[in-house]
Amino acid sequence: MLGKRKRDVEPQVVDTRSVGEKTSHIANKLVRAREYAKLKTKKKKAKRTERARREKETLKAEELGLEPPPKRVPKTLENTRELDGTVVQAEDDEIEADEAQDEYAGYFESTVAPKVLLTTCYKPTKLMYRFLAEMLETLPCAYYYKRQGFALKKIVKYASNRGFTDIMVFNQRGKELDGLLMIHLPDGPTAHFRLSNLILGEDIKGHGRATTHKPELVLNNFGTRLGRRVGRMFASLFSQDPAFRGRRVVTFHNQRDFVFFRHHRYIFEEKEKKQPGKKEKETKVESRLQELGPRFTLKLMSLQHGTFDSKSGEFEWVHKPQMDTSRRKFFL
Amino acid sequence: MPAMGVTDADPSIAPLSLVTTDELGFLKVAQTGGSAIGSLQCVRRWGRADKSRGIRSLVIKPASDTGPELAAVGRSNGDIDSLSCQHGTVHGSISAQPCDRADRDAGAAVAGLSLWSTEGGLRLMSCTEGGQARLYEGTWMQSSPEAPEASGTEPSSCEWKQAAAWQAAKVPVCCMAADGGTGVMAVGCKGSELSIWNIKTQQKAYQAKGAKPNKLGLMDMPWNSAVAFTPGAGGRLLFVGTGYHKLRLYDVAQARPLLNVEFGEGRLTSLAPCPDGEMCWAADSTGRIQVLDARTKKPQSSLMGHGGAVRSISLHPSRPLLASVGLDRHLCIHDIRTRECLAKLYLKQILTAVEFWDTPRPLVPQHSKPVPNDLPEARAELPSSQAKSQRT
Repeated sequence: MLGKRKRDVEPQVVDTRSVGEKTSHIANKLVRAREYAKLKTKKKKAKRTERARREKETLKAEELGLEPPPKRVPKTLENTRELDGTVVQAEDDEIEADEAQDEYAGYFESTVAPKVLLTTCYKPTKLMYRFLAEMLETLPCAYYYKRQGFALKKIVKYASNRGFTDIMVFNQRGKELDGLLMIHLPDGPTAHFRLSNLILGEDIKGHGRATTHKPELVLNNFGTRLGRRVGRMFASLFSQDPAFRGRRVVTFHNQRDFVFFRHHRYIFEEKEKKQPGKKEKETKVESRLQELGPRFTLKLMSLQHGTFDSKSGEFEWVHKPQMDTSRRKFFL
Repeated sequence: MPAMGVTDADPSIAPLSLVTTDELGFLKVAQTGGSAIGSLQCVRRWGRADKSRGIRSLVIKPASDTGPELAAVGRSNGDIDSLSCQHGTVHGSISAQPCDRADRDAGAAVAGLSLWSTEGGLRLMSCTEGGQARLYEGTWMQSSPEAPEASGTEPSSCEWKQAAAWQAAKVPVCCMAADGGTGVMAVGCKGSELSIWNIKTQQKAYQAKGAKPNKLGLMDMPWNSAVAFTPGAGGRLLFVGTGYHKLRLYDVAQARPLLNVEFGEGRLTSLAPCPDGEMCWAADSTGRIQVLDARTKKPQSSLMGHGGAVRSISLHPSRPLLASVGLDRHLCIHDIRTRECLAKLYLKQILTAVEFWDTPRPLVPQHSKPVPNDLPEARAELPSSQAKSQRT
């Protein structure tokens, strides 16, 4: 037994080819299928024995009070990400200096309070109004204005004269919402997002109604230079002093360049629970979440310098098909 | 820094140096570690972070018999600094005129700069966004101008004196190019067509017309966003890029353009004519970089690599290389023969200008953090509004 195991551990020349690659040279389909099945079974079996061996080792280590072997981390797109060198490092004085003087500096110094203008495409449908009603509850500093056929450049001028800090334009195609244009005022930038997977709060099972408290904000994984800029754009839509009594949280969670928007209420509850093996109940603090909605997903299409000018504006970043060279490359 | 891929490069080729400027007011020197272009890295950073003094335009005059190398930067508040890229020392500063600063709408920002040397000394031509064209005469104040190069210690200073000033445009100026040899200056504006001025007499020498109306009788509004004189044409031929994605070739013998070619979909931002005068590289606000051959009248050879708008492009004087910078905060170097991106360097800020720099001595990379305040500034005459913005 011992000798056998030792032989297994010995380093061998590992064939990294997949089963398909090993059998693809066989011309006869029946033979190939048979060979394929045989190899596949062999591979599965090897995997199973390997797993059993690892589990055994862990158990043994636990019994002896030793440190178990490190847990294997599965490979995901996130942890095998190809970094492009623009990820912001902590305490980078140059980037801090830039962000201290950028378009959002006033908001982060709490000298400018957010005031958001919500509007729509030229011909919104009923769904848009139901959605906007929920967005107005989500954003306490938002005001809805009818589009009324005005050109966006005129709306930008109008809103900047009236002290608005942001414009959000929701676009609809057919009966589905498909786009969001966010314009920071007075000097930009302008971000265009594709909006998808919209579910209204009222369609979420067990949903709640939002209160008028100012929500807290969670921004996840906006790590690169572009991501930071987009994250700051989202942050500047909400007030910097949330009303913690309201226990409302708005989340922008970035994963693989998709930004997931969620809106929840949390609660910490003391609950008496019976622990297994004990007779008396114990009080335990539990946290629970209730979704308020709406929920949707955003994907950045372009970030333009300055306010909306699709014809001659300069783009800080535009998504181009030739950028999608790898599944492991992310921009935010 | 270990030089990457040195083996596949020609060792006889000297290391490359480039100078870039950004919206935060930094001037950065990027240099290749060895002869391989892929080892490009940022070796120096001059200036301090102040967006109100962001750099808009850059021009570099290589070292010559009359004086050492000199760079001039035009800032968004209208100030112009002349400095050495090697040491970062300011040789001389020109503060913006009070009239420019007072008139905020007109724009005090320096839209274009040009620097050349004559027998009498240096000449610096600037044009503000408000349309004020100014000619400055510069003289080196030290008796032996080669001293800083030879010893590397105290560089000399340069005294600038305004020689002429005139209003070259009444509408916002987008670009300016000057040809020191022939003494002419071209101004591209939004709202009026291209005009060429005689620098000596300060008179308008040429007023261009737009392209002919198309089949429907429609024509573009005047908006010239990039301009460059064709090398070797004696200031007679010039390439002009418009805000309505057209690339034009003007001959001063006639008012209308010789060529009017559709170029991409965005505003043209920068032009770099090839030394033969037949081809012109152009970049636009969507990140497209292509070359127009005046003989085939078609833009071709797209250079890939930028994720956002390109602000400035520059051709290497002797090698087939093109450097470009833009809003995606990257500096790219392309081989214009193979169209391959040889190097891409992240420089953290929105970059505004790039120039190849023939460095007298390669710089040693600084591994420690660069000192932020090593560029002495003309702080005394800053108005209160700027002082406020510095505090923030």
